[in-house]
Amino acid sequence: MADVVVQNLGRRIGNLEILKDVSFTVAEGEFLTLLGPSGCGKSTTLNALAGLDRPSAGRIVVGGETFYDEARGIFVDARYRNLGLMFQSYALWPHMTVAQNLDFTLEIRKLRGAEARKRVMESLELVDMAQYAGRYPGELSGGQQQRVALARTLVYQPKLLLLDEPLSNLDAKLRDRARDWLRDLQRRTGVTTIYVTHDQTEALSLSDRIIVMNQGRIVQHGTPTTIYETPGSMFVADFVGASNAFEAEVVGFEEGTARLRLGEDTHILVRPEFTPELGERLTVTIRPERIEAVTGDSAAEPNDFSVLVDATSYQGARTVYGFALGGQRVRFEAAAGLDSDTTARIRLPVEAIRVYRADA
Amino acid sequence: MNSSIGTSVPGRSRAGSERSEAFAQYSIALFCLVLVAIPLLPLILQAFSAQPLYGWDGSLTFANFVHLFGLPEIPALAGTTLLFCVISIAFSTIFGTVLALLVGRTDIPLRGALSNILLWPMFVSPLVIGFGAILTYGPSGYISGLYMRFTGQSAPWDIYTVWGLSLMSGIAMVPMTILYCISSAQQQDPRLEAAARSAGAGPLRIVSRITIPLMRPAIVYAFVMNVVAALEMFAIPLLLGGPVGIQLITTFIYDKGFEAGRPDYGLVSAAAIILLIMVCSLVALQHILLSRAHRFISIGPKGGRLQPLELGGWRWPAFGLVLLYIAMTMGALGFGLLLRSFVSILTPFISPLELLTLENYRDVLFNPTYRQSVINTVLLAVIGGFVATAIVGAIAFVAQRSDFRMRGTVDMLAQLPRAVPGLIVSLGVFYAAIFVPGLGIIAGTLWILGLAYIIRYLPAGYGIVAPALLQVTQDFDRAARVAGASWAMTMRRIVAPVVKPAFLACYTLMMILFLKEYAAAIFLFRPGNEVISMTMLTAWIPGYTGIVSSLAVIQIAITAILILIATRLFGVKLHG
Ligand SMILES: Nc1ncnc2c1ncn2[C@@H]1O[C@H](COP(=O)(O)OP(=O)(O)OP(=O)(O)O)[C@@H](O)[C@H]1O
Ligand SMILES: [Mg+2]
Repeated sequence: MADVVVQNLGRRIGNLEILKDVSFTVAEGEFLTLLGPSGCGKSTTLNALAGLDRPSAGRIVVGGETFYDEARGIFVDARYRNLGLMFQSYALWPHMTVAQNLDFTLEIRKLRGAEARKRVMESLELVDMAQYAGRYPGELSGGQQQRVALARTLVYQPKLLLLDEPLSNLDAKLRDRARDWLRDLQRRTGVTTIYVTHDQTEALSLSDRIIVMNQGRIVQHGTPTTIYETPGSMFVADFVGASNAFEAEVVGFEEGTARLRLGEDTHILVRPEFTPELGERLTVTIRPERIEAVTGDSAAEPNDFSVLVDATSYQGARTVYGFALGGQRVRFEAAAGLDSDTTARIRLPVEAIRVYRADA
Repeated sequence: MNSSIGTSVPGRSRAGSERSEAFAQYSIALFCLVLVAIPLLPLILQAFSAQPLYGWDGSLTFANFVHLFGLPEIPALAGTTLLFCVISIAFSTIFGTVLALLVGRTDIPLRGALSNILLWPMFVSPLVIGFGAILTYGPSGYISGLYMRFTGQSAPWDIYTVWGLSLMSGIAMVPMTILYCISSAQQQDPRLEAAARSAGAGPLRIVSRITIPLMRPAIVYAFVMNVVAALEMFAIPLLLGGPVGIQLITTFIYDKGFEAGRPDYGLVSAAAIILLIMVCSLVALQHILLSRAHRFISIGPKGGRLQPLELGGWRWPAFGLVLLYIAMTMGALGFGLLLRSFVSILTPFISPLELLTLENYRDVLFNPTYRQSVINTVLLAVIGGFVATAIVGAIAFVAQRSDFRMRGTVDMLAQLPRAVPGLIVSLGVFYAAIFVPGLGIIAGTLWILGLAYIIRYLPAGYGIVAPALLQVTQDFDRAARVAGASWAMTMRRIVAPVVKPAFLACYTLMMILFLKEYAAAIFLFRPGNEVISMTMLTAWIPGYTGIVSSLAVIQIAITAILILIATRLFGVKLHG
């Protein structure tokens, strides 16, 4: 197990730039997630780490050993990196039993006999698959295959565990369970893990840290809370959790807040992290669950509005409502209780609103 | 999982083992290049050399081509070859398409069995078909004899004509057309016909407006393959045209190559190059056609099952016609050979029961040359086929499953011999044995035949293994590589076992092809390395038809047993 340093990683194919200037570090035992939409370069990054694909620029150091350094012309093939990579397709070798699948990786390391058998069984027990040791992959369910694939990457005690969308082939229910199980397993083994997904729930619930990628670049990294609560850009706000977004014009300033005009005579107060100019158009975002329905007759605060709730969508644990505010459609979530087509008092708390410059 | 130190991959130094990996891949690629170059380079050199290769002074000349085109028989040769192509291809395309439609798409009785039987001639050497044709429809063949006996007149047909040999060659080519058209007809999207049916179209309209147009790529493809097959066709023109002086380009090359005294190697090579160019351009054309075939692949998931078209009242008459075709072609020919192998003389005027004898088989068994030829053929098929499969596998691994820089080139090289007719492979290897130092020691042995056969059928084997490899996810290899396995180990332990069915099919096909091959052996055989096809040919000339027939029956029987074992015991699928 080891720490990982990735510096200025770049990958181009022809004149297509697939990765650009990707830099990050992973501490020993940490669980890091690469999150991003399809085609953003997550698998490319992972394959570069695994040594399956040679990048075109940058440096990769794992546990003090340089695996790749373009400047010095170093590229260590996947074979010699001693990492564990789990594929989206699991890639269990179909002609070998579960135990043989694990054993093959030990055979390569010239580990035979009782010690090899012990290791195989230990790994299978770790993933609760010991009783299936004699089965062929084709005779296992999707969830079982996934666990065997994980056991196969763990059995030779790799320095680093790389997981490429390992849960995407499971159905929703199984995915939830597998997620908890995976997190637990990573804690127990303490193996440094880099996890790739485009599913924000997985990223938020599993990771110590998240790197959000878009179009081959890192757009933000931080803990799950930072990423969710304070998205650094419009893209992150939208990709991680749903957001309401609308444009508004700066019409005034008052004690640390800015007044924006939304519609004809709808104004909201926001607290930007930068200093906008008068007349500048900003993008305003707020998460649907942060909008509050004000009940009773609590004191009026800024950003209280009286709106006509004209759409409801019941989703079980919560209900999503919709209304128009200054000509924009806004969604918000609440436990239940509002009727459709009624007027309600709504509050957009200043601290829940994030604003971005239009070009961000 | 308590240890924090991973177990790393042991063994030789990184650089060392990476180098040996590259070395293995380079060697395989180079080997492939050599295999392909062996028959072609000496041949091309010879075509442009004024002297025989063994006395070559290094100068190049066009004189051979000038000489070739100046020969007085060339216009007639070209005309005959063209007429032969037109007739045999027309026969093969028409019968092939109709038969494929009948057994592949209609509710004709016993369609499964019929479609199997119709493909049988594929597994039989055209040489055997030629012998069968003479024993059956020849002037003293038993059907001609029967006709005479019942009508009192001699048969109105004569197979020793361009028409006769073209039609007999057509019989040998029909299965190929059927094979392409059947799979195309059966892979059609059922929704397309269902849509036409629900729009009120009758079966005839569906066939003419939907099924056949959709089969067009397959028909065109089969047509091009037919042209290649016709240009390459050698045995039947040799048997039927030779005695009456009808020459095609292949028999011309053969005749000139075996001309009494000193054969004109330059002239022979020049003719071979012309044939090679024609076949190459056709194969290239077919590649282009194939790459354009995507348009005919229907879009979206396939819904439902393909419903057989109902023939209604035509069901039994159509069945009768297919049976008649089978009876008149492979039935009559096979029966002729079988009958002839068990009698001392074939004549309709004496009951064959009175002439029954095992003498032909006894001769084959006790004559050392004949016996040796059977043993040699089996050896070549079993061992040569195995070696060929191994070579195909190694080449396919490099071309399809490696980071080798020139793997695209290897892929192309492996398919190249497809454009080289068997006769030319034979000639090329023959020249190579003279020209390449050291290669001469295998001249006249089974090894040289094995070499020629492997070169000739490299593309056929590759055509089975490569697509199978394409269907196996690269993740298997990548998983093994990440786990620390070398390329060779990944191929041997992961990829090869996964595509084992393809390797079995390849081995079976190689054995079948090696059993029936004759063209690639024709310039290479000497006393001692004879194979069944060659001894049949030599026994035919003095008229030992009984022995030829029993050898043919033995060849067919070995092939049949082999196919039975492969399909029943090992579950090999030879087509479809
Ligand atoms: N061999 C290639 N040639 C050209 N473009 C490629 C190649 N491989 C990947 N790409 C492009 O690189 C980009 C990143 O690919 P990558 O597989 O890393 O995406 P990803 O983030 O893993 O997406 P997904 O979530 O869909 O798996 C994609 O736009 C893809 O089209
Ligand atoms: Mg991916």
